[in-house]
Amino acid sequence: MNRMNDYRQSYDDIPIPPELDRRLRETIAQAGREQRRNKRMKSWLFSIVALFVIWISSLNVSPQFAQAMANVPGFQSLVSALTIHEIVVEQEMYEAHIETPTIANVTNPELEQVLNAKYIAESEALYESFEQKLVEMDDAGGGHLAIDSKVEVITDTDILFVLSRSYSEIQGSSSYEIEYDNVDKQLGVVLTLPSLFINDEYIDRINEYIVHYLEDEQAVSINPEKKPLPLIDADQPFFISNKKTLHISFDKYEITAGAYGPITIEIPTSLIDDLLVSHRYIE
Amino acid sequence: MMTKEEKFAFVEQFVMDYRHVHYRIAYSYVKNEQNALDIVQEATLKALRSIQKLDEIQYLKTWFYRILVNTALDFLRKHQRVTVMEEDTLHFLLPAQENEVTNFDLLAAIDRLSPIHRTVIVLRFLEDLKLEEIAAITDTNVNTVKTRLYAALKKLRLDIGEEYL
Repeated sequence: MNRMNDYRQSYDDIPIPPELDRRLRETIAQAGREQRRNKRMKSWLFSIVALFVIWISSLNVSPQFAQAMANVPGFQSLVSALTIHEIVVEQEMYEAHIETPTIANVTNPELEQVLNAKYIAESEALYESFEQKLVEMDDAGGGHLAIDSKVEVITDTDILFVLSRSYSEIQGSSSYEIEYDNVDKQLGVVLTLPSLFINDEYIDRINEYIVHYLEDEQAVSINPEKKPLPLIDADQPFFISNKKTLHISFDKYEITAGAYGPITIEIPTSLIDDLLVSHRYIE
Repeated sequence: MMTKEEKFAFVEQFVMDYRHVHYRIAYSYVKNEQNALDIVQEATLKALRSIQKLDEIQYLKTWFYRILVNTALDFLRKHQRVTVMEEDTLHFLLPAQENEVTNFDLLAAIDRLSPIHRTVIVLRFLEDLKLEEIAAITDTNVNTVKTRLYAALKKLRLDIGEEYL
């Protein structure tokens, strides 16, 4: 085995380049940064989950707690019927603002539960997709991402409570979606567009009005890829304003060119007056 | 049980302290400074990224060697054609000298071994590892390591002559 020992000597004599030290320090610094970033993400996720659990269970246990939450800074309350829980993440390359509404004091507790569960599910789905996109972005070598979900009270009268949830995402291009829930506080029901009218005729009438409206408005041009009719579906997003008028809402691109963003069109009550089931909501 | 931070610090210390050992192992595969540097760097990054997979700190050496050897083997696999061509060129330029057997012949003979056989020779004779450790590093059992070791030694003897080993 003498040869092997000689060989071993020459093996031990392999020169070590001075660059090795620097390359390893770089690598260690890089791995350290990655680890700290992962840790931040994890602790952040954990605190959200914990907050959700505490907060939701408290709300379910005690409506008084829900009321009390309204006075805590950060848990902004816009009206007595609503608490909003906001999650904020802000990092160099990405940020998220996710608002989750919880409604209370609507006559029908079952309805409350259904709506609140829906809001939580939406926020969770939103957060998951945000996390998923971060992973994809990291794999693709980084990028910018901002998501923003906002809760707004559109209408709050003795009868009606209308909540909007808008969601926007900016990653290269931007997208924007908005949804409304029109709740009759006294009866404890969610209104649908068809439920306001005696028959289907409202679809054609509103469509016709919107086509004229768009033609008259020089500023708004119809999205060339979207043929004018039928413009609205039976359950097009809508809301009823404080002034008891009907507003029809369209997402970005839906009827206009993208640059106009989402638009909302007020429908004159005189146009649909004879088709209304009652004047409880619209006058 | 160590925390992740403690493990990280421990591994960091280890890769800095034994960087010359790791570099020589990598070098024994690729015979080239830049490639050996790349392999040590990549293996270090892989190790630090998968630190949660290191269950017991006492297995650190085995665990790291496994990553290092696999990184080197992966590198050879990816650069197979290039490596073969270099060897051919080397043969052409440096015809075997029949009368004088030098360290260089053994070195060249070890280089002619397959990467798997080279691994057992390097780890056994140059790094003085136990058969059990080599088995853990190469993810096989002791019997396989023995078989590979004997096969590798036999090839070396055939290549440069019995009396020199």
